[in-house]
Amino acid sequence: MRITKTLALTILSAMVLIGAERPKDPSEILPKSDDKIFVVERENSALAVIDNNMFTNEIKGLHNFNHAVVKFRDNDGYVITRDGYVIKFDPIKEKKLKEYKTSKSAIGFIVGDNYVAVANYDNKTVEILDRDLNHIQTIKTGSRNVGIKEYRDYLVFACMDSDEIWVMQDEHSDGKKPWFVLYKKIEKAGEVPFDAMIDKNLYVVGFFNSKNVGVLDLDTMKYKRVPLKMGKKERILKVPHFGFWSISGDYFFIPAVGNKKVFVFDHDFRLVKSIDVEGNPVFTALSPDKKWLAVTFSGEKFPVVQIVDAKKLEVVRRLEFPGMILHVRWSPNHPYLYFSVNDKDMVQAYRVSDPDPKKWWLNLEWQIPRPSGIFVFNKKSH
Amino acid sequence: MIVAGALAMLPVAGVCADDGEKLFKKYCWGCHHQTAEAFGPSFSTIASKRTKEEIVAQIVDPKSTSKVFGYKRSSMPSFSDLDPEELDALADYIMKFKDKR
Repeated sequence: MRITKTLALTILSAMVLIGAERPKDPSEILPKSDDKIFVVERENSALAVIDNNMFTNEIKGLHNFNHAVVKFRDNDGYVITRDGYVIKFDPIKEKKLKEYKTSKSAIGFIVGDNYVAVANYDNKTVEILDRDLNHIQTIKTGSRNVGIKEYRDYLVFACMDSDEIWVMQDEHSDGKKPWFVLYKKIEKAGEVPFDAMIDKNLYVVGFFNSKNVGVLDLDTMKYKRVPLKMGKKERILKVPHFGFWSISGDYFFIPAVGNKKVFVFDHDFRLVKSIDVEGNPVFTALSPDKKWLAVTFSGEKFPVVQIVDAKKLEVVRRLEFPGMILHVRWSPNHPYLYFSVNDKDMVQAYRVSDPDPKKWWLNLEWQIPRPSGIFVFNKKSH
Repeated sequence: MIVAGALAMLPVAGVCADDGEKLFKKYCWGCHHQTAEAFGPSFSTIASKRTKEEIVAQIVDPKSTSKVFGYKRSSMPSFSDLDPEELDALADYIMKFKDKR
């Protein structure tokens, strides 16, 4: 077991305080957790493993980890890298199993029942692999591809360079090996799509250069543009992310591009409110109980996170960190909110059990080199 | 229980004090990567196609230069507020990635 210097010193201090006669095992002191947390070490080609609230291991040799993304399905872990690899790993044994290079630069992926689909920037394809990373199909789009999602037997993504949305259908949906054919193409969807989210049948895509979001109903294949009331576009230092985590039972929360706002829409895509926030938002992450929205920012406001009451739609707490926040993640099992403080080499966990967010407090901290994405494998549900 | 709040940080290995890299991390890294295509082109691609002067012009006034370069469209904002030393350092940093893949 690897114990960080900080943690070890803390345990020694705790022993002095409580007059312990024998050294305490860290697992006796730290709160128990079903979360196994995998943290992208952005500059180290490694995944840090936090198990039972202890930094216990690193899975190394995972290629360029700038903007690496991790997903879990069943007992399998997958990660894509900036230099185009998709890697399968065992989250239980914490071991790399296999890798396959899909492109020179990958941006997003999904893991279906019987396939992995990787959306690539550079070589302008979507690659379909089986769950063991054997190649099945190359979909050539002639564009960088973003916002890849699945719905029933559809595979949906947006083409950043051609402003299109492609809906592919698996024509082997009864068989083991998928084969996707073009089912519907939305042309001139909006200028420079950059990411998308999905809620049941609604595929919602954001645009970098158009003042609207696009909403494609995957049941009817009807497409509509929803205007966004934007102010003057400010300089953008980081492209915002959309995500499934910012859809509540009542609302869609959408980070504005180049404006200090989070837009709130109802499920018919009527604007409910635009919430003024402190910076240009990057992530809008909704808590598992859908009560709170954590909003991160770019530029000067990288160290700030604001908490929005997702019912009252107002900012209720401001957190300021000693460095840049590159990612946040709500624990699915425990009252914790995790933060990657990238340039201070730490991941912090706030205890968020109190119904008043003003009373949330810094509870745990791990020294992890250059952390970015935080991904939680639920040991209990697997 | 707050674990570890007041303890000194461990030294960070491999942090470069180079100004160009600092500016890259302040202004560019949300959209560009040094060697891989991202939201914007990689620095290795840019450095292989452009002169240092062209790179500075693109940073300061991307609307105009993108027309000159024949781009269909440009999503890049202007960084005309950078001073000449900063532009020089940033352009030097970008040029370092010429021919690097």
